[in-house]
Amino acid sequence: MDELNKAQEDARLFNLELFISKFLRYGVLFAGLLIFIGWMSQIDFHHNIFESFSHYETVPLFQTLSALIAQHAWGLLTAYSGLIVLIALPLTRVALTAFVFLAERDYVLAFCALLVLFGLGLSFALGFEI
Amino acid sequence: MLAPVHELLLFTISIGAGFLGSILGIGGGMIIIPVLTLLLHVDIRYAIAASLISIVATSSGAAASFLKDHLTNLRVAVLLEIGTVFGAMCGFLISKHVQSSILFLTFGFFLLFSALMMLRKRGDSLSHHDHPWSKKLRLASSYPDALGHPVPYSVENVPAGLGLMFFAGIMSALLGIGSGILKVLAMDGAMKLPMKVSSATSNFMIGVTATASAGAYLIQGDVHPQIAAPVAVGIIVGSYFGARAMLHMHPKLIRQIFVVVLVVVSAQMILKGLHG
Repeated sequence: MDELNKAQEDARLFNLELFISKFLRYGVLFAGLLIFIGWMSQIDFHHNIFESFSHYETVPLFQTLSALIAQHAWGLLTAYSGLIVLIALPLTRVALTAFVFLAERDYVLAFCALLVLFGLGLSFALGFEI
Repeated sequence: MLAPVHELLLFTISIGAGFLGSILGIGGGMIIIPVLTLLLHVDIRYAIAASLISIVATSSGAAASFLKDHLTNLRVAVLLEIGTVFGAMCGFLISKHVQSSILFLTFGFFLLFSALMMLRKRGDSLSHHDHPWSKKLRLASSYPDALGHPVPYSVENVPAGLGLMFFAGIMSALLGIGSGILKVLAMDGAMKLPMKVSSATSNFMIGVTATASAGAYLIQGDVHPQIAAPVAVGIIVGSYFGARAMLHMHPKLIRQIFVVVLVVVSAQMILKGLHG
């Protein structure tokens, strides 16, 4: 009986996760489109862009975004928005997975998914200069 | 050479990397990082960040395909993601204190290790001994064989698997790779999961692992669309066609050729690391 219940639970879980994954596929397409449009609209025809990346010098993301807004550099801003959407997708997947486990009353695995979500949040926070 | 030619060259190479990566079952990062650093002379830290973005894109886009084959063990994936995500966090912290030459050396040796792993014979050693954590979390499951009949399997050594996943997370963040080879080693080597289940579950997890450090690198300012865009878009396009072409190709021969290429590239990366 337990085996049967687990099989039914797993099937429900599988279908919900498949739905989430299909949703993510469209998200990736949308993010990819933003990145592509942003990239194409800012291609520099006069300089080899890679020369400016031969030495490591980092400027925090939010400082870069503020400068791009001030310069009305919409191409790069579009590409950055695509990158942000892309990074948000797996985060959304883990959050929805936690929700699915909670709905299935599988509290231990829901806790595991929430721990992964917490880890992702903490990791992002490390990106900020303190 | 006209300036945009460099970006279009990177875009074209990224399509090739995605194509080859999907045929060989490896991430495009192992190809694209040497191209960015050795050919286009981009700093390795920017290359690592761009590679991680492409991993997030390909893995998130393909998650549905990994699930459809009924091989992915969702419960195992969620549990092991704890190890990889916290490992990636440590990898990101380590990367802040590591010199570029060390990154080149580590990457070179990892390529060599990956080449050896690609040559190993893969076979299942199924276990029917369930670890207590596996019983508690109901990790044991089954997968369909060639005829569609369910083959049950148990899950051993869960703590060892989690530990190895932590290491895989560190390597992913440090080198900008998916660490699929390490993940599969943890699952089929330590936890005795069937090879097909290990590969599918590893592929399913890679995006979340890469996101942990990709997000941190993005916020820190290491991700530049000028590099990340041609790489990510190129790898997405290449892996799309690679998955379709796989049915008509002979991966064994391509794998053997690629192993030679990996050894040569790893030697170049190690040399670059040694010469600073």
